[in-house]
Amino acid sequence: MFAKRYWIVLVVALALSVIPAGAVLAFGEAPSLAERVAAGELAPVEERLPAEPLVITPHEAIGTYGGTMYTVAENLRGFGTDLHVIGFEPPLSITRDGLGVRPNVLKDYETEDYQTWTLYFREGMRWSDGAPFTADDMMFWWEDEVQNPEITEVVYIREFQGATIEKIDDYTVVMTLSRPFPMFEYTLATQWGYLGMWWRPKHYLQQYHPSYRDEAELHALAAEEGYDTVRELYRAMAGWSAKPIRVETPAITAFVPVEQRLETWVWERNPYYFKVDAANNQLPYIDSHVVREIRDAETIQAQIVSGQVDVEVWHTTLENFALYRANEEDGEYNTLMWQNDRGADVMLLPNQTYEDEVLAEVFRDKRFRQALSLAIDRDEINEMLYFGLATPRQYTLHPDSQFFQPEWAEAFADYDPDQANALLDDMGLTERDGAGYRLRPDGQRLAFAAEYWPSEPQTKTPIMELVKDHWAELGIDLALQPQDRSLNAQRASANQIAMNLWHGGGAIDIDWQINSRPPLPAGSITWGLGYNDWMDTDGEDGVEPPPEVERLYELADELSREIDPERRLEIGTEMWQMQADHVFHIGTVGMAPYPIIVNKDLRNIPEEGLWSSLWLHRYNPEHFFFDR
Amino acid sequence: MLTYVARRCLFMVPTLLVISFLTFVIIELPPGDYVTSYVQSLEARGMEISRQQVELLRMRYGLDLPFHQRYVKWLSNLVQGDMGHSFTYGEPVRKLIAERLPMTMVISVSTIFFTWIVAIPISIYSAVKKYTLGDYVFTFAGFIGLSIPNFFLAIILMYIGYRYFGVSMGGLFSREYLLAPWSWGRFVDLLSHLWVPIVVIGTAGTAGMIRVLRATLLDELGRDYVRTARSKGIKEIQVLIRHPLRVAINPLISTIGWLLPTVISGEVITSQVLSLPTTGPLLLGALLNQDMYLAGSFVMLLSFLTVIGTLISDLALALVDPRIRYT
Repeated sequence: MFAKRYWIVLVVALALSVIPAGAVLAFGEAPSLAERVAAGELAPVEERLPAEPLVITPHEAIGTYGGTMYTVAENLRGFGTDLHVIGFEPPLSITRDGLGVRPNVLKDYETEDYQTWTLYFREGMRWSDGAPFTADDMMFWWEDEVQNPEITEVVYIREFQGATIEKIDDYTVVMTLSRPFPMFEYTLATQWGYLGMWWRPKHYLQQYHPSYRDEAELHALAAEEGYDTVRELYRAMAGWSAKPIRVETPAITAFVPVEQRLETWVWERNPYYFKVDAANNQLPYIDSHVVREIRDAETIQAQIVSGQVDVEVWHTTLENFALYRANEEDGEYNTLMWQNDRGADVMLLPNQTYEDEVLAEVFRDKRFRQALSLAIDRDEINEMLYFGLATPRQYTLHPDSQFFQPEWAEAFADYDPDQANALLDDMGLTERDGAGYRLRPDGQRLAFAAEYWPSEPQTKTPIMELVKDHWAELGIDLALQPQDRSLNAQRASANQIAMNLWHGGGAIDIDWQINSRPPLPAGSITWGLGYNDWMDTDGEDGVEPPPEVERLYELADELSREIDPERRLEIGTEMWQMQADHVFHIGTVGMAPYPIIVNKDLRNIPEEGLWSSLWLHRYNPEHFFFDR
Repeated sequence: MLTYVARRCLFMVPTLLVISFLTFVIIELPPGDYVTSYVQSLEARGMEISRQQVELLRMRYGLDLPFHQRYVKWLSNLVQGDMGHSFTYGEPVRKLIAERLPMTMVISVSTIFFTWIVAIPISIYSAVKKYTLGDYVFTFAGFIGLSIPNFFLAIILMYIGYRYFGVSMGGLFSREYLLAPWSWGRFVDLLSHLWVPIVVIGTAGTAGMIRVLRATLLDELGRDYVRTARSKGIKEIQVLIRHPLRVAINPLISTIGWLLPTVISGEVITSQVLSLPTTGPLLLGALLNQDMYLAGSFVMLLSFLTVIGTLISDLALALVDPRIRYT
């Protein structure tokens, strides 16, 4: 499948790996870096790497150095997640199968009670400017940033509240949490690691920190840089602000920015990067990474098909699948079909705490929700809008989850209008008006609106147009109101939306447990905001949850602190069984494939991967390389 | 004349004050604020934000203050020349606009020249040879130019550029020339991308200008002074340029002031579609994300330039047309 020479390299790599421990290993490095070493500008590779570099087992092959990777971003300095095709290094990393964790920046970690965590740093690891990266950098972040009220107003990360960190030696810290957090290792591997937390380059940032420098001087500096306060100055320098990456601030990522033009950012390899391949070649293989800003999503499609983008994962859509395939040859790329982590591409959320009491009462009856679900012709949706490539199913976990049970995906997911009608009749909603619509208990027509933000995915409106017809068969009058996301958010949080729509993303193991999102009514777009308010305020505000919802909150709370894996499995199973029985979220189709665009020469990207919001990190983008 | 200018300048102050208030109110009108859109975009990418965190963010951006406090703070900073900070970019508004200005002005100024160079000869031709085949062709083309939405024309030209000339779509440079130092090749590459926005933005303006110029010229051509000039035996082309054209150009001069804000703002939708590094998309993004101070300050800048531009127009018109007097 790949060229012969990689086999040779692999054999060499294997031969090298049997050299007994203690022998001095030769490390490989990029030719451009070797030149700088020869010229005396850079320390030899052995000194730049930590004593124990992280070894990445290649997905396909040991790579060759060189090449520039081009990608596009919608907004270079905005919310900017799409910038991070390559580029964040959390303490730990998710394994490629997505089920466990493995070392990343941290060499290792230990915990017995999930409350006290010992974290081991890599001896000899360095920042991109060559300064040592040690436990002090974590202590600086914790003591001078997180715990310093001048920088951080409120510690709002649950796990950090009441926690302490103690430095044992230069390469060891002990973090003690306020209570056991069994999912903390996953937290170390994903979310907050992504925000570039956990450490800061102390040697560089202390010049901008009020604890290390004269306040008056700092104020003058802040004014000079155009910031109002010392806090703003520090945050901007640390990368805490909207512009998360600065050329001057040292980093530990594979690529570091060297130039930030208006519409183009250029990144080059970090000569001090701490990872090597199985043959002890320092990563990354690719020389540089150029990100261009293309502000219009449609123009990005044009860029993709004309071969201007080497990797694209954020802006591809299934609707454009045929377009991608048709231009593969001209654009010199491959279209990979990855799996999506969405348990439902679009899910419907009838608001059980809606301000209209009569309607809320109807929504709270599980027979009503079951009827709504049974009346949806999911096969039609799949054939008409997803080329038959998605799976018609109830909203539940992805089959890769260890909690998954196949019957959950089938619960009330068959198209059965007769049974749906029978359920509604059974509820007593038998009266109808002149147009054939059912009447609510108070005599008004059973009508409500789906109000939603029509993007992400774009299929929301076409799906709902089909669902509107399906439900009309039941005698339910559904109106569609796509709206701007700000309006939607505001109306949702004011509890003015009868039914909202959202994607059912993150339906895989680590994601759903960390977020404890579904099946709970969590987040701002949900089916029971009033219940959340009730729980948050201990019953002062909001709507009292019915017993089954209260049970859901109890289980989620228990899950967040339960250590025993068997008991965790029981808890998770009960929670998702409840979703299947009560259909809090009504699914449509799920697990739609997600097209990924990859330059045809780019290697070490799996043909079949799982797309999720933190998608690429687990596939080690730093070991992608061009086979030219 | 000096008194006139001074009085006009004085009137600008209340005008701008009213504009600033209206701007702030209108930007505040849509539901939610920057934090709402920020949180939604995080949630869309699978992150979890609690209500407490949302309030905290609101506090950090100063959005928890009441409307009048924010307005007064913004306005007093603006008067001192501080346009405030953008939420989205985390940088001073002045810097964000300044770094986009050169390219915006290149495109705007070239577009203006394109418009004039095309529109003036065509309108003269159309007026002199009215109701001939040529007039009908130009009129027809002009109406098409007026009626096709710019973004649509941009997409069509981008497609043609890619299909038949192999020019990559979007942006101002191909990726090979993105980072290259200036050279002949890079300049040619820039030109091969630049013509699309100029033609697209210029077409609508050209068509409008042709209509206006043609109509005024037709009015003037029948006047007595034209006949007198002709009877003196002056060449037809000289008659045209010396007499009726000078009058016909008045509508152009009276709108010259509006070019000032246009040069700075660029063409929003076209720039967005073509992904040009101009100020247009910056304004659009700021309005969509409710990036208050960026949007507000930018709109104020444009309003200021419009007010100034109108004054310049009035003065220029008085200079060119002796019939106009200061009062």
